[in-house]
Amino acid sequence: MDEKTLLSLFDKFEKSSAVEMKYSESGASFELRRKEAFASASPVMAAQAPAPAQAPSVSVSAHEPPHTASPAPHAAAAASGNEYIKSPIVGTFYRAASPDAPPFSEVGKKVTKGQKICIIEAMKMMNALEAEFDCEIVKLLVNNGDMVEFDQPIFEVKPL
Amino acid sequence: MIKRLMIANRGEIAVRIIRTCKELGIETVAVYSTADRDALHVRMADISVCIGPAKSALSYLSVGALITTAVRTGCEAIHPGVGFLSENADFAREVKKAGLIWIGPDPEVIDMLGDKVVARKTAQQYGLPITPGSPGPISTKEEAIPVARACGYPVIIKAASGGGGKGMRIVWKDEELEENLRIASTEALANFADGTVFIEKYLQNPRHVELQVIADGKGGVAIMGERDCSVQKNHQKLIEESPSPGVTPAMRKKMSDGAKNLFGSLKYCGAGTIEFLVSGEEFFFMEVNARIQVEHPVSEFVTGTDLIREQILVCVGEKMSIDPDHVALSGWSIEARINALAPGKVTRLEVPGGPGVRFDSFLYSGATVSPHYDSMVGKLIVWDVDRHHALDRLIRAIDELKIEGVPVNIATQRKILSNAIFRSGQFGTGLYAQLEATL
Repeated sequence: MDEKTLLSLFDKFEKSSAVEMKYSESGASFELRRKEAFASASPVMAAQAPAPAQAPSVSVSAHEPPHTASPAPHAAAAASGNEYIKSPIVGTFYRAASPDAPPFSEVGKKVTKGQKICIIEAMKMMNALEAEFDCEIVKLLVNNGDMVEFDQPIFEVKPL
Repeated sequence: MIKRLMIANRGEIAVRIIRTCKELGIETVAVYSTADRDALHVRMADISVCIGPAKSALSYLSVGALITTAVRTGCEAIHPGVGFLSENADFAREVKKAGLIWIGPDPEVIDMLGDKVVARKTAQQYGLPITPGSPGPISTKEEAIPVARACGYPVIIKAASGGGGKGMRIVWKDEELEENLRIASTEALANFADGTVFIEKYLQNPRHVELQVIADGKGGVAIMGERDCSVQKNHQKLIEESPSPGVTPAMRKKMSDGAKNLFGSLKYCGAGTIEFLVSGEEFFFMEVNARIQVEHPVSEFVTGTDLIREQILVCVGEKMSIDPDHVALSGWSIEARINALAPGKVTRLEVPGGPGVRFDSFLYSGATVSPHYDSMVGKLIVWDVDRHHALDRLIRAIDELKIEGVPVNIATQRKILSNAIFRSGQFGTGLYAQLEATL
């Protein structure tokens, strides 16, 4: 691997919210960890204290990217006042009911409780996800066609 | 060879499978529940996907989430591990329907072996003795007496659709038959909506002996020695060893021949175990477990093989590296299961080492033992030239094992390993109950 690729990977890791990254390719490998990745190894003083917002360990194999490098830590709170809408199942995220249909949600769009906001397909079943409260879509955290995990944040929204 | 495999399991067995996959050059996809975010298998796999909440029914048992994940991450095969969906024929069918390889026998074979009555009949057909008993249901004293006398007392009355000890009565003489038939039938009816009962010979303090099998799906069957799993607490195995101190070469040959016939004729593919109850030099077929088992490492030690590797090889259609006709057994191996007595967080872990010692576990310093899943947190396995040396080695190794933060059963295991009856090798499944007061 040349230095440029290496540095760009370091940079990407720096900017992501992942706490751990492993890379291996024939003959070369490295692991990067933020200090948060070691947090769980220190003795816990008060078991009742809320756990620090911690990203799941996301193993990134850079040459094969079919999986999720979760854009936002599962347990983290969104920017002040905002909330995350998380995926209730594992599946494929679609913004619209079909490729030529208009998307259910756009950044800036206001949706009301019960309104469809996206489709998550699993086992060839199209599961419509509905907003649980009135809100404005602030950010889409996954791309159309991406795989989403259980509990993965897919929208950042501002409750209305 | 396949390129990527998903493990539909967690904990120690998931870690075990990942290790072999790494050596075979197969990429691994781990699945996990929200309770297992920081679990070792999640960190070790090439790709990890959160598939559901802590409750197993919504995560590790969720067929839809598992298949979706495997397909979406580009896996070619699913390894079910042990427990969870490992013997679920419907899951195996779904896996195949999705175009994936199932690391296990065909769903039809799982179905067949899962039906106890059919499995017993089939085993008998291939020359394996089954516990003597009534050929069909028994409803009156007049039917029962000749059967019971032919079996020899004590006998046990069992519910045909039963399980878990319900509708079971042990009978010691003719006079007790009538009343116990009535009680068993009433219990069976109340519990299983079916009052049908039958009679079997009741074995007192039998040994639990099982054979490890690897079969290639084309009739090739390798018998990888036996395991003795007689040390059990409420049917949960605690200590396993290979070979069994209670199996003679003649018995081993007879068991192996029957098992070879049975697995060969079923065109069984993958790893499997055939279980027997042993009483003196007699043995009786109990059931087949159509999967790899927790205690497989003792068989790995005495045969010098990686059973998970062989299991994957045969299931993906590669040639197994064992010659079924020349399986050499060497030395003695014993495993002690390390179980958590309560959930918690490991604050300190010291792992034993030295020659002939292996510790398979998902623990690390900082790991969480969740209340949601099985209490087994590790397996300490040793090998040495004979039973006596292996026992000394296991005691030495268990003394080196230090786990803090989570209470475990190390002290109890050490007491069993040092117990004179256990060390004599002359014991049955009643041993734990016999020792319980002193543990």
